[in-house]
Amino acid sequence: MKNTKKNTVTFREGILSVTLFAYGSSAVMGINLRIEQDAWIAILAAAVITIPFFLIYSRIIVLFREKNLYEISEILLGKIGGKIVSALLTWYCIHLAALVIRNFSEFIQISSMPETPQIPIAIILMLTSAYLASSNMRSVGKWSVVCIFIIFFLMIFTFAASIKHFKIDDILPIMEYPLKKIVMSSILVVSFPYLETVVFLCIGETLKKDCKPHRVHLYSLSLMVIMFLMVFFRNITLLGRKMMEISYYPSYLTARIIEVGGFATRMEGSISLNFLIGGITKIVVCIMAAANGLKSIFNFANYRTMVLPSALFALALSTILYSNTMEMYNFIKYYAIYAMPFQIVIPIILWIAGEIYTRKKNKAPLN
Amino acid sequence: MVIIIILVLFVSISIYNWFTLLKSSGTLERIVYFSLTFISFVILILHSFDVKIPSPTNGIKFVIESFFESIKEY
Amino acid sequence: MFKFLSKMREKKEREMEDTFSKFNDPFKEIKVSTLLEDNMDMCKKSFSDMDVIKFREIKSQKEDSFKAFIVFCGGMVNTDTIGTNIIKPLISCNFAKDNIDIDAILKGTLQVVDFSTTDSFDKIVESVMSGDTVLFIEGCFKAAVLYTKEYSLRAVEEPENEKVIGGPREGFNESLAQNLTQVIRRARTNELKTKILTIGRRTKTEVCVCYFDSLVDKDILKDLLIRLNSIEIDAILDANYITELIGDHRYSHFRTTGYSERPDAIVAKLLEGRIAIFIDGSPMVLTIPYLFIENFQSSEDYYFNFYYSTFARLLRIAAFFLTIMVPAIYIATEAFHQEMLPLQLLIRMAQERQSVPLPAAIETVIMLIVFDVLRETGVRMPSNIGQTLGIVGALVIGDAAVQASLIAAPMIIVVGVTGITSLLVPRLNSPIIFWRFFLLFLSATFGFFGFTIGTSLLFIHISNLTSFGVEQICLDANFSLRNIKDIFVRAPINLMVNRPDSLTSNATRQLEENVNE
Repeated sequence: MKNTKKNTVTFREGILSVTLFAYGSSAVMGINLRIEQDAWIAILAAAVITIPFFLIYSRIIVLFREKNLYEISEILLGKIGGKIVSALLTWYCIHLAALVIRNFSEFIQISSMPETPQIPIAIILMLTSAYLASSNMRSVGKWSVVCIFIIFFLMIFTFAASIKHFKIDDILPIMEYPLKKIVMSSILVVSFPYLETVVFLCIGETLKKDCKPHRVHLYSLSLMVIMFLMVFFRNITLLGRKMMEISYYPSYLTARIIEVGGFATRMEGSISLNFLIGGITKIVVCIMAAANGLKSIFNFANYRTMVLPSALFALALSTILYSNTMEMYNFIKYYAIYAMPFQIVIPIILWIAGEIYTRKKNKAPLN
Repeated sequence: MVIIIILVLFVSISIYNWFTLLKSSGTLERIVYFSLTFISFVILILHSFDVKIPSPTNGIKFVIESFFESIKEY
Repeated sequence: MFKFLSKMREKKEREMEDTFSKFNDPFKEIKVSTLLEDNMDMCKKSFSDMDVIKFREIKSQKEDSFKAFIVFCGGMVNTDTIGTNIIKPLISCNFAKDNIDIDAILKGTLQVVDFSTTDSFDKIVESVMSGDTVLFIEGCFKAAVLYTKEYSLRAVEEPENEKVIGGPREGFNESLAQNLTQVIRRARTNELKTKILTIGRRTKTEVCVCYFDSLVDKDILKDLLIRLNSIEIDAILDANYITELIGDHRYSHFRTTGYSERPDAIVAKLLEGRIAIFIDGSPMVLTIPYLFIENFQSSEDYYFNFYYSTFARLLRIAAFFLTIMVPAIYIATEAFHQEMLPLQLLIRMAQERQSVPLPAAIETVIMLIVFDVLRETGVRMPSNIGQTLGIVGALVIGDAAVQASLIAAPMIIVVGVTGITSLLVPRLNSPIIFWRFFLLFLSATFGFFGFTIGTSLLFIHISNLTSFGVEQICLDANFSLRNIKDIFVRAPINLMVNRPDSLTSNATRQLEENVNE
């Protein structure tokens, strides 16, 4: 009975699941930044901005091994403060899950099933995610290993098909947009896929003890950057900058017009598969984190009973979030600010408090 | 149609979880479980009857706009 | 409310247990008496209305006071042994009633291979019913259980279900002893341990747990013995009873224990650190833990050249996915994503479908069920009728139905591929049936979106599977070359240096030197 009792993933699985998580809904939404050909600068700049935060996340994991953010906040901020922070984080996780469910049901309705109402689509998406979330983290690890291979395969396939059309004019002129706008876009990218990985901290005891969390974070960050750049270059090559800007789902549109060797045409079916597995991963992690939050708020023994209610709640929330697709896209800029407390403020407070706490604890036996 | 789907979903979930919940016999756990399920059920049913439910999105937007006025123009 | 219900259930269970134990062990408390008459009465009472039980009284020719009698079950004993090795020596012995010594008689007079003594009637009944002969002697407070088992058995034949072209042809039969012999003959070492347990309140079936002491994972062994000992059932008639009672996931479609009818396969599994469970009366021998990849392995893989074996194994893995997914993919493209088809094919398919009355999804379900009906009939038929059935099925279902425009021609191809590929992986029969229709349903309602969801569920289900705490698929380990050698490919035997990691702590199979040569 090797490593089965433990609910942990290995180093490699950790990297892949974090990457897949971040890839999840941004793949379907596209990195839609309104700066056309300069988006790649924003993607790279955002990665640079993200690095210190990822290091803080990793430091929190190192300081409190096998504890999640809820437990940490309860240790550091006392019972009531901890519960308040836990409630906030739980809300964020459920809300994020709802956002992703909405993104996907919207996408599927628009792309392939215009007559089907969104609720059944959202329901089976939610049920699948709840099933994976109520199994353990190891299954999520295996799931990400398999899915990332499928995604990479499809991505390289489509990228290779687009590369012969690539012209350097597509990304010229560089820095056409003012710096302020590019910085704003970078901040959107930081908050939308990159720093959402804070949800992983809410699950706790995910990584095996011997792997270094900062390496997991940085490796997956570089993987994410590679993936987003590939998506960006592919889309801008095949669609052109205006087309990429105005379409809701640029990757999907790209897949429609891609053609490989004359026989593989109209591959949007396979591309939506690609999106979907990323989306499921994201919903799963969010639901797991939310269930863990409920578990620590009410001091339950096991988070599994809370998986289904949180998933159902996310489902209900997803239906009332927006009244139409335009609203969904407009929300992204608000999201960047809305998510800041959860992605930046709470982790930084916990990190500083954690450093002080561990220093004190280490000194105590000496005195 | 959608209402039937929602009803079937909740009925089957309740039946399935009746047995799992019986095993873990925490009263608080049951209360949290059923209240969350019930809230989502009500929201879904109301939504499928086209009742306008205030969305958290609008609240978030309102709060953020009152702090950062310039975001509207971006 | 809940408490009350559970209390009620507990009470009921206790009552049932009481009645069972009363029914089951009426002789538990009764001991053997020194008076022969009493023992005789007791035996007659125990075996009342059982005409197969034979009693034979014995009187010594030389010593009048020596009286004895034997009980055995007719048909289950070797009568020659009883006649010449038990009755004859006893008739000619001269033990006096006063200084009778049962040990001396057993060791010095009787000529049987194995014996034991007992004083409980419970044990006596069990021994007689399993073919031993029980000897009572006047003046002795113990009875002797003498080994005289012999009953007719099926000969050692090649198993029908696991036929091979190369490799040994022997298969197990229904006798526990003979099956064990076949295994021991292939692994002549004292490391091979065999523990015999008795399971089943009424059938008292012997179950043997067999493993290599130095290779087995002790935690798994302990877990297995706990699970076997906690079985509470009145009858074990086949290996599947045990499978369903000790499995990790009782309600899953997938197996959590392996089985084989071939001694060579069982020895190979034992040598990988697995544990085999032999069940008396069943030719199926179970092995645990079970890895998912074992569904695709065959003992023949190791008796052929590894290039061919690798090919065959990849074919089986592909067959599993094809047989589950082909109908679903067909429906999804046909009904939702016509744009994915090349134009020529699309036109042809539209033409075909035009004259067909039913929607494609219903058509597929009907055809798949028809195929399963044909297959199921073919299995139960004598082989000569089976061929006729095949022809009738192919002609009627295939050609005539298309000609009469009851079904579209592409459907024949879909059903044909689905059906044939399912035969490649017989161990996955039940999951295939379930998941095929499940995916079909999802595809028919949601197109490729549903298909993706269904496939995801399938994958999540498989990755959740464990067998005795060992994960059935272990992806992180599979990425190292060391473990991949017997998964998707069958590496040359000299390169398979290690046993699977998850099964045993003693992973080295052969010395590295062999590899370098």
